[in-house]
Amino acid sequence: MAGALGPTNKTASLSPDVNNPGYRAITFDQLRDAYAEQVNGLIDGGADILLVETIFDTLNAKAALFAIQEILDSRKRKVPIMISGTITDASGRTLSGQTTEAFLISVSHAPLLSIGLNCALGAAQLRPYLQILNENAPFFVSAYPNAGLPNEFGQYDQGPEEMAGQVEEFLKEGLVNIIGGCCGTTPEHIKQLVRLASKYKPRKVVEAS
Amino acid sequence: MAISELLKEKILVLDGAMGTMIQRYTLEEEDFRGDRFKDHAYPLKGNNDLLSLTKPEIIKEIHHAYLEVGSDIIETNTFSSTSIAQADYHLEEIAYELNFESARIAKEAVEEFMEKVHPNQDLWQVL
Repeated sequence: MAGALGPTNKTASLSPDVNNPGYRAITFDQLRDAYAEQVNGLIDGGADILLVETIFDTLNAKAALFAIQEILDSRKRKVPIMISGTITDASGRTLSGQTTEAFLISVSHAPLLSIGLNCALGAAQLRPYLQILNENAPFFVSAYPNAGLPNEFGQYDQGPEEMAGQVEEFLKEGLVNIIGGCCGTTPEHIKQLVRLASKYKPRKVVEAS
Repeated sequence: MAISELLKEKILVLDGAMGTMIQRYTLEEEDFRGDRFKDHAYPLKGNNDLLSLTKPEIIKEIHHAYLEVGSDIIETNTFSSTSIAQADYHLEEIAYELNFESARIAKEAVEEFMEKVHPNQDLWQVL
């Protein structure tokens, strides 16, 4: 069971005010403190893994990683850490402007179990960025895409079979170790992914360079 | 078996969306409030993480739905359970409790599921 840490609704490296680009609604230290409280709650409640997800600003994720490592050190605990970034569109960047490679490099100092991508895109759109992680990441790779892209009402229409068809492409290529679903996915979608996961071999982790 | 070993042998499957499943229950403001927050001065509808305290049976049912179809790893209902995100609802003081309870509920779901389906397997087989 993985304790999930979201991005929060504030971002440490972008200004929410177009007229004041130097302004920040939150600081690294405030994020670290909030994440520390969350991590303590999750660990006390029995979390077996910590999953920092939907990272649109890597500085927020770094605050989460910092809090996690401080707590694991002081509590003398070992809990595997998974992290998952969000590429927002076909620019291939996170909201704060990082490419997949930059995101990987920015968090590689941490002893991660896995790195991956989730949300914002469907499985088909995610594939090229997973390829980058597959080639470069010295950790296991995860992917949990949305059920396609949202329609004009913000709903996700992609059915389980269609999603599975797209996911199968990158399972065939051996790009990932962990697969799942984000917005719009249901147990029916996951059932299809379980069927596929048993058909293909996991990705082999590349050695750190 | 440790998860790092398991991951070398097979592709593990996470769960799917929590929010999409919560929508299926078409919950109203009073469902989010429960007894405990019935007099809270601000709207709480849409605070999905709060349901771990006010409708824990629904959150556990969703965890079970994902475990039943074969998820190896389920995620806690804590996407917005920091004091920063909860400040939108003026509930920053319950952040620790949200995380603790959500983890406890997810753990319970895993243990119930393991007991029912694989009573003799190592717990790491379903995380």
